[in-house]
Amino acid sequence: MSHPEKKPPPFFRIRDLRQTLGGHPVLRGVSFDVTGGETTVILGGSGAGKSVLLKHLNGLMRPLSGSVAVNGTDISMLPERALTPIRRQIGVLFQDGALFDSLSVGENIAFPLREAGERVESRIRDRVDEVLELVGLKGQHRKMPDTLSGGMRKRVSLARAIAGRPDCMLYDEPTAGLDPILSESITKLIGEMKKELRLTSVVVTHNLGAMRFLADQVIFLKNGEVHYCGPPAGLDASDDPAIREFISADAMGRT
Amino acid sequence: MRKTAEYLAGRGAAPAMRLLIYLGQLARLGLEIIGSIGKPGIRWRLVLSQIILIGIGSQLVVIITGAFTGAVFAAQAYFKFNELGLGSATGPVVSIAMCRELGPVLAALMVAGRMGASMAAEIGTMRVTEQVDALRAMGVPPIDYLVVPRVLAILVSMPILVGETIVFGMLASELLTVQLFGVPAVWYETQLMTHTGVPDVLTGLVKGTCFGGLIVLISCHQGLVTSEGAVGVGRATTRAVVYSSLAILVSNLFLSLLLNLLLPTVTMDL
Repeated sequence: MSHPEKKPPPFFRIRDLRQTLGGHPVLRGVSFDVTGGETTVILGGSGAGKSVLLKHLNGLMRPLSGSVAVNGTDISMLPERALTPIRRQIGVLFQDGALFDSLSVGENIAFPLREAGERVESRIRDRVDEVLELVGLKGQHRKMPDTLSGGMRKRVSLARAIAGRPDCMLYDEPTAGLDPILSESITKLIGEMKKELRLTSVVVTHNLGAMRFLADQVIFLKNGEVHYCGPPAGLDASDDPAIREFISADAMGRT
Repeated sequence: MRKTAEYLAGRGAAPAMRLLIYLGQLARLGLEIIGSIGKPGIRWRLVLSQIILIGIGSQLVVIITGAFTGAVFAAQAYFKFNELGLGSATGPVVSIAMCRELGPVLAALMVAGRMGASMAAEIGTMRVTEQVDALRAMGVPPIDYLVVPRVLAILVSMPILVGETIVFGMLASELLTVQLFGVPAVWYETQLMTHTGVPDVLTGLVKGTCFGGLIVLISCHQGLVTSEGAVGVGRATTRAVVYSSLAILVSNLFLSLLLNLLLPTVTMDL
């Protein structure tokens, strides 16, 4: 007798997620799945709730109601310390890098390795050099964060996030505040990470170009509600006025 | 539940309720710190660097504070006692005051101004620039990494700093009373040694340690709840110093009453 093949759970399963900030609703019943190995882009204007949604995926914020499951484990009610093994599977690129000011570039990148228990200095050094080369900053490990440009900070932050070999990456506005050339290079870098490291990725952005380059699935958020969830091609065909307005504003911004 | 408490603490509740919520948050942070200290994996390198920052960095401040407070207190005590022919009583009075009250309170106020502000500003800046979130995202509890090393460092440093304040206060007092006012050194020292006991010194050290605990708890809490960018960091820094100073002065009364029962001073016999 043959058993039906059991489908693995999606990497993230979000159901009816609600959140408020300062008494105002920010997420109003958000639900979607992120399949392992794919890139999901969360798109929307400023204040749509994108970054707040991202912070729920690794438990940095706890839902007011609803659930967030990572590989089938509901993390919404897990105590802080029980989240540690789950968080170590998930790397995060913060909007402004969030590099530790008091540590050099090399020490920043070595930080998650040391915290995960790696004690052999030669192995730490090798991994730091390896990820710095991957993000195009070979030999920059002695620099301090305050001497880096915006683009370099993002690259170092990316190197730190992937140093621990996570299964998944969360990117919070990876191209925000960068000029178009740097934006493109960071977007390409994220694409390379996806291809070379086969990472599950969730990218928060309002950049349609980055979305088209990276996305396997797009979530369009407005006022904390999902207006679209599907493949990137379907977004252009959508009749939703919020999406039409967003796309036409982006086109106007480029002309 | 936590969000409701934060909202009420922020604006929605009456002052008494806000105070209760604030004290509840401090108690919770205190319990988390105790829980964290009980676990393996204390970052001793960070503890050492904080001891250098708090202990060694505060040397000049506590020496000047102790010496000038001791000297000015000795001068005022001598002026009054000398009218009664009791100039040599200056020593015991200064030593008891320095050991039991002035030493620990002034050293703690100096450390609150210097280190409390620095802790709140540093942790607050890390909070608003998402560095605290980055720690959590890497599976590192901010309490373990940011708070526990500071707590251990201040618990080691404060008794030493208070001890120094007392010693320099008494040395300055002796210098002034003996060299300037002409009280014989033997009288001064005999009186001082007769009326100053181990319980007096212990009281100062215990108080200093308690004040250190309050400073680090209040300042780290302010840092961890900072929001609203640079304005928020400024507010957290000010609050850390003001709340720590008030906590030192208020708790000093209760500690004095308690420690006077547990560690009574030698009976004065002038």
